[in-house]
Amino acid sequence: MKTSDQNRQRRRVLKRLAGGALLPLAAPALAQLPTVRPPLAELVPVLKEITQGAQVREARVKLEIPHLAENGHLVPLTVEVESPMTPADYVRTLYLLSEKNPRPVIAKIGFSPGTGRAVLTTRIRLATAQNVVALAQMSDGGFWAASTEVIVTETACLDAT
Amino acid sequence: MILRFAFALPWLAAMAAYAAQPFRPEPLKSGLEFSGAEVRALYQDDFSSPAMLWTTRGEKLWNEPAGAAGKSCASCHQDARTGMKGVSVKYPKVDPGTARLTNIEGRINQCRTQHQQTEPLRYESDELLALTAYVGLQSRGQTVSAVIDAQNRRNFERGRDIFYTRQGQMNLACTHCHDRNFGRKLLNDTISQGHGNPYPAYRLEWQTMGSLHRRLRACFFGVRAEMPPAGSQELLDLELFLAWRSQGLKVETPGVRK
Amino acid sequence: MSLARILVPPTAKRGELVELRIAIQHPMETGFRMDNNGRVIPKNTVNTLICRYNGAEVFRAEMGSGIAANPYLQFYIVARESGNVEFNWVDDLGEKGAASAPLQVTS
Repeated sequence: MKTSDQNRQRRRVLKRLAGGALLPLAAPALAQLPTVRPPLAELVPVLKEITQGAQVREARVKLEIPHLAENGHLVPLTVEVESPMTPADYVRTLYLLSEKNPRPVIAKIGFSPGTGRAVLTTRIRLATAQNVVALAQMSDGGFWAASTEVIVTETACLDAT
Repeated sequence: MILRFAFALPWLAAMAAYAAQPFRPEPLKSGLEFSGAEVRALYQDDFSSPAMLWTTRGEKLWNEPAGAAGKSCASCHQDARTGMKGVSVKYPKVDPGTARLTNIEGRINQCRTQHQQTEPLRYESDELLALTAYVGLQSRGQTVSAVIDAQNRRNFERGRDIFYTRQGQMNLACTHCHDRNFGRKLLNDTISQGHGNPYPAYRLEWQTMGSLHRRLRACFFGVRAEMPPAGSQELLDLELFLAWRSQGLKVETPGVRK
Repeated sequence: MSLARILVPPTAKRGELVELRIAIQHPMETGFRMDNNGRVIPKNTVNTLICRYNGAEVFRAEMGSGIAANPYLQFYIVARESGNVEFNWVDDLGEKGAASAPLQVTS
């Protein structure tokens, strides 16, 4: 019957599209999608309170943190800020900020020329997978930052002890 | 009814035979080998290890007089670094005085009540964990070598039976994860062989130090079984079986685990 | 007073960068956890830690519940002259802690 023939034909076309034509087209299109991270001020709204609207440049700050954290209760992290650390030019404050923790400010670190190098290693808590932002304010008032997305895995065995 | 029972018989016989011949996982591997990079980094550097806060405290407590007798641990045992060296590898063992199976925690509390004449420390208290970890530290790197003999054979057998008996709503025995499936994944966790050699250990999940009994209780909870209390006879017997099962591994106390 | 471990090298050359480490035994209670009776355990974290070198503040950390339990900090100072490296901290309940170690500076 005619309608059934048409249906069969239509299915063939669809199959060919799905199997042969659509997928190879779709895959590279997806792969090429840029991973869009919202601006830092949207990511961590508290940033605006700290910077008072001043420009934040994403450079000079290096944030080392595992991309896949084994346990959110203890995530090791090292931040290094590029700076001569002289009385004329040093890192005054380093903020560690979290996108999704119940309290967005993880720590506020005060450096001085006496620290010689603006490096900090510590361990943080992450409530869930999220971006972590390190924001540095230099002695001239300028803001520099870096951010990294961290995936936090759950443990398999529940523990109520 | 009879038919159903008859069906179960060969299975029961097989289970009994299985339980009668306990075995050690091959090759024997510490849980550290199944741990991720972060945990290993925390353990490998003594200053980085949060567990060392407890041994530091343990060292202080070792030298502090306590109780009516006004004695410290050091009053009798002198310097733990020599006096306690290699002691924990033989535990749990049967105490000659009470004829009961005793672990390090129990031994410390026995000293407190009998010799220092003071209250026993609460299981899982920071003080007991600190002292247990400090005593364990003196055997770090030595080989676990609990001996099974006529005195503790019944404890060993009871511990072994717990290890091979299905429990809880998930109907799993220790052996199902830790003998048959070690090295495989549960979500993002790698299943270990279930050895007690790092305990007391700092677990990231606990955010603090914990005893082997706490870890065992967590496993009971994991399979949704009733949790025996810390320090209970069941857990002591299981501790002895685990010590036998991990013979040959090195003591890691105070360990770090996820 | 809470227990801490510090690592300060005993000696350093003048002008050398000296790595300092401190670990404090503290639960860093978030204020979001409950006890076995369902009551909220109040927030209590080490909120401020100050490192002074020969009496002058060189480093300061203001922390909260986002810092892991048993807080750990590692940073540098520049060795200038022989003296004391001193750490002071306080938690939300007002409990204070202190630790210090001498640093000998050679030229």
